[in-house]
Amino acid sequence: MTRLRDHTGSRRWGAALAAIFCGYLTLATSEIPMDPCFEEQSTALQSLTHEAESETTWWRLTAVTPTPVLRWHVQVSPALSITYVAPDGVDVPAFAEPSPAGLDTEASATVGFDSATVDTAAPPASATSDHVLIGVGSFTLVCGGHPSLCDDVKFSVHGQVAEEFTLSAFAVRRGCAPEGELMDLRLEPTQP
Amino acid sequence: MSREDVSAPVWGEPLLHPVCLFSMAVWWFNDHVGKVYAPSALTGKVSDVACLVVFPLWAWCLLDGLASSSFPRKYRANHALRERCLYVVTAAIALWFALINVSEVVGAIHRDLWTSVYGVMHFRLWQIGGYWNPVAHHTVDAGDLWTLPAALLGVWVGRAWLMAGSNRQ
Repeated sequence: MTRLRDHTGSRRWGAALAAIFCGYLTLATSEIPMDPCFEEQSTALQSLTHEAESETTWWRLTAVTPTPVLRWHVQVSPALSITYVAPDGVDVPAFAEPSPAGLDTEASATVGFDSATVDTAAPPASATSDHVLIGVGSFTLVCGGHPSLCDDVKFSVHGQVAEEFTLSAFAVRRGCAPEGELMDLRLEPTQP
Repeated sequence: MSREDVSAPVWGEPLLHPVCLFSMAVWWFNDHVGKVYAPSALTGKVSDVACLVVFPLWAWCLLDGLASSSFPRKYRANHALRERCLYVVTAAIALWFALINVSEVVGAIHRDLWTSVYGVMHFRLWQIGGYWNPVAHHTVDAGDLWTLPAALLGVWVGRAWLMAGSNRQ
């Protein structure tokens, strides 16, 4: 029995569409909860005033949150020198653009696909090594393709001995949280 | 004047099999609706089943198509070789799936690989003004090993397509 129509053309289109859809599923959804809620929520950490006993004090930022933190914004007042230290094995860009006023969207930051980008307020930051950046006043850590980098943030503040300064930070996290669910931010002194 | 059926084999055609189409639909629905609005142990497994049906077959279709184009005489005409390739691809993916669900180390590698992929996609999308920032999550769960037999469905579809193709010739 012969068929009167050649379906090769339509099968090609169908197969191509099916293949593209399968590729999309693999990339976009496998093991990835597609959170319909793209709103981001921020929680301000209470400011604290610390009387430094040494020129350099080390700090650690963490957040207890059911959804990943996407970025942190840290500000020190007065504008003292800050050193951000990336985790071992993570490189940060050798430069950082001055941070725009306030926290803006990712479009205003440079995001590396395999590193965190640290934007610091003017003057531009300088790099002392592959994973250390120095800036002044404030920094925004945008974790981009590595949200785990925002889980535990380490940085130091350099000032005069006994100089008082205020540290404040807030985090932006992904997704919608159930009502009443809070994000617990912690800013603790730590060691180098 | 009647025409004979001259349909030639088509890349990716196994994906048009009802089993594959249904699996894709289930996969999409589960990830976009089920896991979001009614998460449960079932939704955690359904996607794995659908993925194991479709993904190895998709990967094989890609490799098979490339090999058939590159080596039409040596590869395309050799159905035994193509079938073996299907088995190897499916076995490799199934093995990786098993490893990421029993080993924390391999699971972490898997998560890091996807994180890098998503990071690139996020960056490229941002460059053209888009925004999409999926987060790579993976939970090592030995219970997922129960879904491994689903990969056999993909093998069945692939073999059926190969046999239909050889019958056409």
